[in-house]
Amino acid sequence: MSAPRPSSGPSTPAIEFTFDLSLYRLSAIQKAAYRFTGPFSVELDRVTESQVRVTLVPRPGIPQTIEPTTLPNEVLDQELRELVADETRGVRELLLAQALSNLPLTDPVGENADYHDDPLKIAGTRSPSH
Amino acid sequence: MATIAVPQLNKAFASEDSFRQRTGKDYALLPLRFLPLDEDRYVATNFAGEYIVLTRPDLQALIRHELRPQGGLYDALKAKHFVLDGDSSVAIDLLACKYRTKHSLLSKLTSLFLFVVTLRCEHSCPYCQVSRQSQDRHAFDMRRCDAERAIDFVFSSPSEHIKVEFQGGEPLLNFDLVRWVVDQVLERNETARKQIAFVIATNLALIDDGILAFCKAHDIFISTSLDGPRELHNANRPRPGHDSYERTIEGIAQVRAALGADRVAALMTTTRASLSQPESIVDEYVRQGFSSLFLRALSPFGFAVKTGAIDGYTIDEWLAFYRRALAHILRLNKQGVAFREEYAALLLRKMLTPYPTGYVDLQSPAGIGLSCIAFNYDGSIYASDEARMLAEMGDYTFRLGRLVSDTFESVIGSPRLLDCLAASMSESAPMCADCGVQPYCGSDPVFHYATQGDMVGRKTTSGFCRKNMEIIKHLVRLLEDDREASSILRSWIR
Repeated sequence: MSAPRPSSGPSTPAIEFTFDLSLYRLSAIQKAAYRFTGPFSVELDRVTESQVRVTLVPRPGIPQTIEPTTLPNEVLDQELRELVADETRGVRELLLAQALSNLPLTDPVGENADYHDDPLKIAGTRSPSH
Repeated sequence: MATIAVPQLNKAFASEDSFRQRTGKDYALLPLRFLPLDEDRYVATNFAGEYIVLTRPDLQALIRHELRPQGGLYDALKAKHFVLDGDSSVAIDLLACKYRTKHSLLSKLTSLFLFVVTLRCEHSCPYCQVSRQSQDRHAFDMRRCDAERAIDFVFSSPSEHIKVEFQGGEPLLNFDLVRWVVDQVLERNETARKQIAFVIATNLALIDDGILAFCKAHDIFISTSLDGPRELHNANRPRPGHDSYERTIEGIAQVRAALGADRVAALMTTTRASLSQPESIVDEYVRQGFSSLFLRALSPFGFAVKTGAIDGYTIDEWLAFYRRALAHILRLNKQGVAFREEYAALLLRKMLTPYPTGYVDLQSPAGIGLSCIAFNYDGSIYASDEARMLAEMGDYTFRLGRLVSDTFESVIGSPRLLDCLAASMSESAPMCADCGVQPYCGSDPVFHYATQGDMVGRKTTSGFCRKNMEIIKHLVRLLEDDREASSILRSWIR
């Protein structure tokens, strides 16, 4: 990512950030940029095949400043969220199905059984030592 | 001596050694969301809404599978179902069970029914968007035939627990209808056998011995309004004689004497005049013998605010007021005064227990229609109290039907309600979907429609989002950083 820099005149001091698409997903950059759409008008455009520029333009009447690290940190957070979503997509669907259906999906034998029958052989028998 | 067979744990349970010999990076992530809490920390929530506070390096290590499995943090993450490893496969079942419990109210359908028995009121509170200072009973009172249809509607709900709440205007101005509805509901319930509760939301100015006797005989709960000390309350709630405060306080005493000390609760509404005196508002509630207070902001789409009849305020101004009031309540608790703030208590129940709250605004999908239905005085059916208030401003977007022509089934299954509910799923709303406090927050399509013209709402400028996110983060910080406050807050959970 390049350092942020003002991009225009004093009335609309827009701030630009450039992100490398080999390091961050476009979806992570888009989601991070969306979070700044309250105080800023946000523009995204592709600078090169591998670079995306995010331009934050303060909305009229709302004086806004932004720390140089704020948007990059947000992009990093979004990248982490994408990693979580990728890894947990399957288990999330399983959890929802298990929670909201009336069918035992993860352990049909154990969930349907009477504990007296002990089909999973959780209990055995032993002689007490005294 | 005879040998007795006793159960013994077999190899379905891992040996102690297996807990000492973890292989390192061999763990899987379970679904989680996170949000920055402050400069250095994040709050992360699991699939069922349990939270943990992490530093940024720890969060990154967790997600990049770089976390050392020997540490206490790993154990905490595993115990709270953020990670799964070879010896914790039961986590899936437990998480699913907790998730199902959190959403268990969805299958019960509507249990709260608001009967707006009249719009007439002898108060003229500038923040109220519905009341009328009219003597015309025919124009603004609910008709008995509509009330009868509403009772049919109520008993069509599959919910075993039914709460009938009488709203206004001032419902005591049409107490004959209140009395008739209560009698009819109880008669119908002799065969329906549901758990019925009645509430009258009243300013208490017109309460009398006859009304109290009826309330006592039918176990009716009283909900009233108390905005703070005399000067503030009377300024907020004008009525002929300028004696709203005196009548409310006298009414509370009468209700307690007749029905019992725990049969009356009060609500406050924050006006601009309230913002500078949170401590005196709390103290007034303590002085009047209440054990809790619900701190409420002005309805942001209120007619009075929009027309400039009263001064509004920003959500940040209200949040500063809320934090001061909460700090004062915690101070009182530390001095031995048992007192709680109800909105915090609702959120804490969501944050620290597996149970749902049923609070309309803190659900996904939203509680409109599903948890609450409002029957307006004119026989129309609305998705919530706020929805019928919006209608009084001429916007009928959330009108679900009319009692004369609709049934419970036609309303609950109507495209209009289903579209609203689909728009209210925060699991799929931009920014909400991966927000760390999504499990505690909710969605308010009426609020977002009224303030932004869109039911989903743009959360970057949403007062609803800012209010809930800031309160929840404030509560997390108190739970994590202030041991005494944490203990007090946990005691509020019911």
